[in-house]
Amino acid sequence: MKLWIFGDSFSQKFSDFDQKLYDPIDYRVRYHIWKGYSPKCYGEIISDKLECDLEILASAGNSNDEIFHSFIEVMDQIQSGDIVIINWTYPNRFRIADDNNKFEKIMIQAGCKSPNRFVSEKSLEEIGVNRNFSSIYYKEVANYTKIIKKVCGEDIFSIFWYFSNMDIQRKYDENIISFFENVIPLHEYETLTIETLGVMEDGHYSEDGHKDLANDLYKIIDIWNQTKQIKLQE
Amino acid sequence: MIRVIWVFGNSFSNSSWVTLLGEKLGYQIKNLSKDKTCNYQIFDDFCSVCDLIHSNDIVIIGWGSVSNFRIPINNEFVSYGPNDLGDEAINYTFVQNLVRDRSSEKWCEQIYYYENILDELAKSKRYNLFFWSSDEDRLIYPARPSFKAKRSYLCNESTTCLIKYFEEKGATVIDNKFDEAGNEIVADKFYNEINTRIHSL
Repeated sequence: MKLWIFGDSFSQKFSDFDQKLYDPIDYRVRYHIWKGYSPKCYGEIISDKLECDLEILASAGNSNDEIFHSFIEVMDQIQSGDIVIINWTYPNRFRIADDNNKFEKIMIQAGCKSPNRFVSEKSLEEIGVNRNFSSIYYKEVANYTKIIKKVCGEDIFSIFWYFSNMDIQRKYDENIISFFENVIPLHEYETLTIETLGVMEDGHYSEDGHKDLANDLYKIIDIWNQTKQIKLQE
Repeated sequence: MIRVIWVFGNSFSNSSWVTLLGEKLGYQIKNLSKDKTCNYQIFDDFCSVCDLIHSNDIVIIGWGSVSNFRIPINNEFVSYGPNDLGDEAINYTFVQNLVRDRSSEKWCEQIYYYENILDELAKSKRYNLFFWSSDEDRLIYPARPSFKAKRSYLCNESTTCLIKYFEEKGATVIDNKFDEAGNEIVADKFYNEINTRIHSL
């Protein structure tokens, strides 16, 4: 059995930073300095508990398209009995092809320089603003979720989560409602800002946040395992 | 159970060859193709109904130009492409920027990613899946025969997109659709290939 994790920085390992570069802008480096060590992320905690192999294919700054494609890239290696966890990200992230024919991640909130001489920074900003204000992108991700669930079928357990519950929009916006049909909001966890009492202003989950998140995801996996056992006994 | 041909694509699939093909094969038709659409929308349309497709159904996906993209207008996706450069509803430079970016081969690769997951699903759900491209010369047809042999590409002997291929066989394109003779040519060709394929399985 193998646990497959896809997503953005919320699913990455804390230890997954360049040891040589030790870039102090990287939140994982700052957290390592603050704590004196890199704690385990939720994927590592769950795989320890399940005593299974772990493959984390999450990467900081990933857009939902990249997350979706990272799943497609390895889907033929995912086997019956494996578990897939996907954390979807902000729909305002996107990608464009750069001048070297590679996809470049664009995160508007981080400020952006255009990697492609044909695409102006103004156009990138317009795309980002447009994506920020259009909930239809949640519907797009709802459809990605649907096809991944379908591909996984009953033998591969797939869990999809998002770091916000979008409480207000869920009451009236059909796109958001459809998104949460198969995506679990997992958001009330301790952040780095809270743990470090503001020394680090960062919304990523802390060590305890990851432990709690792992615990909640483990409960969901456990129910699936128990249901599977009951079906086998029948 | 009634067998269904599911068709997804642009104006070249939103066309009467689909009905002719359904009659020839004796299948019911569900055509979700739309005029003025893009490949994202085509893939999205497939995903939204993927749980309704049954084993032994036939799915035909006709990709359009890779240069086309979609953006939300009033929270609904609208597709744009090089032909919309004069459209007053959208900024000229914006469309031009994105169309130029989409000249990168990476965007063709994205379609092959879509095909990978579509193919995977078709295999597991045991329905017949076919791809073709009406008007994108960079997609499918210029690829090596060994690449084309991996999937069920319609008219895979062609080295150009299928508008050109069918024009050489007598079809005429008017307003982004095949004419009546063209629709018959397409229906015949697709029928022969699909019929051979489904009876060889």
